[in-house]
Amino acid sequence: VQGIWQAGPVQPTRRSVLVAGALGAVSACTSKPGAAPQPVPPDTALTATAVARETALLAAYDEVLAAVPALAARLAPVRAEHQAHLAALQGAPTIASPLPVRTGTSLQPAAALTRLAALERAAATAHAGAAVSASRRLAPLLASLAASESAHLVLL
Amino acid sequence: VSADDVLVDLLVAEHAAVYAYGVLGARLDDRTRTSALAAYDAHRSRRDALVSRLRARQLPTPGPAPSYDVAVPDRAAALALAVRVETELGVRWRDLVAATDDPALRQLGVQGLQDSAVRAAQWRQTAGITPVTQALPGQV
Repeated sequence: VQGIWQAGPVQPTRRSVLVAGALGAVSACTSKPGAAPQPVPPDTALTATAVARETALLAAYDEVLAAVPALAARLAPVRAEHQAHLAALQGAPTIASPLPVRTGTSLQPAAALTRLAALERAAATAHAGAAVSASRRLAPLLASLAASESAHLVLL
Repeated sequence: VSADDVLVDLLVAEHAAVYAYGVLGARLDDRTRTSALAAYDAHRSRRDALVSRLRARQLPTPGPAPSYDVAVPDRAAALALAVRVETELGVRWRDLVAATDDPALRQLGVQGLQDSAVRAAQWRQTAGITPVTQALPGQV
């Protein structure tokens, strides 16, 4: 059965997800007694979760790159792919932001790479799981994100 | 496209992959050939699993083509062929994800796409091809 949300925008933005969530909360309060509760649109929720995951990954890469600029040649292309993931989820063009400025923090490169690998592995598992329950429209994108993140391990 | 059609396409593609790895292994050094052999075995298992699945669904199980148009004169061509095989298979695994709501088939498609993306990245890295990875494997 196709839900009504599947006729909507392909990839809701984070903003629209938040707005939809807020509207859902309001309508839940105002619905008549006995009315069926509005189901959470699965794709909207899955997209919001995936956006949060990609945002966290980008932050982790930025943190490592700011502390260990020597890893830029190796990590910048991977970071760029996460920016592309985020854009694809949001249905927006990729925003290629500059690499982070060096901070005073120091990180052991080996430990940093191990941490990023663990995050990539976790993201791949989560996206692969989400791809099983998403609509046919969203599932291929989530599957590609999972595949991309699994492949990132080759570089870490 | 129906999931059944994609499964048949996948079997055809896995036959080609098995053939390709059989041919390209001969152009690789010992260490790299070990990876090619592992990939060869993986594709044979996929092929056999697809045959079983198609039979269970009472669908046609096409065999391998009598010949394939692949020329592998040297190491670079061998690695390029391995990248191509994995990249093209990725497209079909992703097609399967898009063509079904069956969780088991979805899982199969996602796993197939992940495996092909990882192997493609490993071959690109071995060949010195950049970028090693893709943002959206399987997307045409």
